[in-house]
Amino acid sequence: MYSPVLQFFVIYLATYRHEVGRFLRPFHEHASINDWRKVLKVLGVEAVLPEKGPVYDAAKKLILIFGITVILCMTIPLAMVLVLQKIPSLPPLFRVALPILFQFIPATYFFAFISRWYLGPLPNPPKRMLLRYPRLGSRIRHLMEDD
Amino acid sequence: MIDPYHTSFFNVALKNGHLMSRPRYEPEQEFIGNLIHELEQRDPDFAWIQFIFQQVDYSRQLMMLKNELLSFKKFAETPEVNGQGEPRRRKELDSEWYRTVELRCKKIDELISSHQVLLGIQGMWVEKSEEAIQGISGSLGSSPIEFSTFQSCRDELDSLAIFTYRDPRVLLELVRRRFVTDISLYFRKYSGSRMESPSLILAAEDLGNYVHLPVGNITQRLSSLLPSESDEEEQSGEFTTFGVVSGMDSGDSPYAKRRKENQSSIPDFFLLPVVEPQTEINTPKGNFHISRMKTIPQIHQKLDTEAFSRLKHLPSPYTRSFELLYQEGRISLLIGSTDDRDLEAFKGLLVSIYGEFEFAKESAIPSCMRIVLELEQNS
Repeated sequence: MYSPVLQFFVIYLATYRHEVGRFLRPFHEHASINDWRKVLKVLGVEAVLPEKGPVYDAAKKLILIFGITVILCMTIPLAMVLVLQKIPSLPPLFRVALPILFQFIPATYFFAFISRWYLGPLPNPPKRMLLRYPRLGSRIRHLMEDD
Repeated sequence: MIDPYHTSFFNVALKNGHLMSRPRYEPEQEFIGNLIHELEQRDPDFAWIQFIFQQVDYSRQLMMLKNELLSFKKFAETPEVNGQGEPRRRKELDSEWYRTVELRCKKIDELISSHQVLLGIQGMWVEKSEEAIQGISGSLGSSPIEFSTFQSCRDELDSLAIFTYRDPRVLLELVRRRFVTDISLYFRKYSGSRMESPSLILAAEDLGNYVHLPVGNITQRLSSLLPSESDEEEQSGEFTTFGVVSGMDSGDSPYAKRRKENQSSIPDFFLLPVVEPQTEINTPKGNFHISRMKTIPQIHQKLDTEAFSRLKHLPSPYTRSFELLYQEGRISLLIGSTDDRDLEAFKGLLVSIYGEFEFAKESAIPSCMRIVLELEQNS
């Protein structure tokens, strides 16, 4: 009740309902300097690279976002408990539902990050003639498939 | 130094992911000429565009897709029954998806009735150094690559679009000349959450729209094709000059004579790729044979219908590539194949169509790319 895990899955199922298995086959780019180094190593060539690439390491951002999510998860229920104590006339259903609903805030925040940096763009709705453009191309799914 | 901020990769695919679409460039035979012209205008530090193709047979998947579309049509046309038991018109009948079913089925039939070829278009783009310097002070994420030549390729259903990436793994795919040959996933997802297939299914006769040498009036405006001083030195020494030639269709032009000689001297079995049974040809990593055209013939008149139609023999059961490299205002054309004998057949076919020109062996990582990216071989 005081963690946003359930809410996170609800958001995932609602937004990726057309491709529920996306978390198994995420759709994102690997463009950090480390990825450049790996590619040059595989190619057997050497080149000077800058310290940072166009896409910073997702891992560092993940730690930061995860930290913010944890703080939000703790502060929101605490604030809710304090607020609910001041309103004793509130029906019991609201006392349970409100903290659950408010957990959607950290869940949405964390989900937005995971969606952008790991899961990839939202799937297209079925039977649409036109697709959103510009978008991340599907070629990215097939990189180094045989490696 | 490699500048990852201003190095982008791309592939070209169908904007709306309609697999049965066969986009074409109009006017015919001017695609490559206009693409080179656009490269000259944009003048990047380095650009590499690959057209990789292979004969395939996707008839079964196409037929299944057609059945799926027809089932949807039947479903949409069957009235639904409301709560009172009265038949009611389905809302699907008003959808664009329903209205285009017949057109899409017709396109599928056309593809099934012809030899199919899978075409992957992908490349690399390194922005001009000055732009790169300005870009660093401005926004880090540079704008997506745009080529009006690609975006003008369209049919009634769909058009081509460029998908830009920052992922350096695409560079590996470029060096290994790999493209996506298994697109069955995109057939399965067509009516669901559709995505564009990274490779296009075309009829063999469509391939000549994309893979051809620059011809026509546009070649007169292409400065990148003119031989440079070093090329001229090379040609006047060891190699035959095959430079600016016009009026290729006039019967007594050197080009026409040479083309006729080549047609008669090269046996047909050598020129036409042997269509083998659909067996999986495994390409070992990095085993791609590449040749660079030493000179690019400048042909000011378009090929005649007969010569142009011979381009339909370009696809082979082996993976072949046709590549454009742009660096310092110069264009190089590369061709390649996974099999060295097949590469010879590929060269023979081009020579039979365009006349004699010479090739030189090229490494998987083109030399000009090594210079631009300051790459050094690991010891």
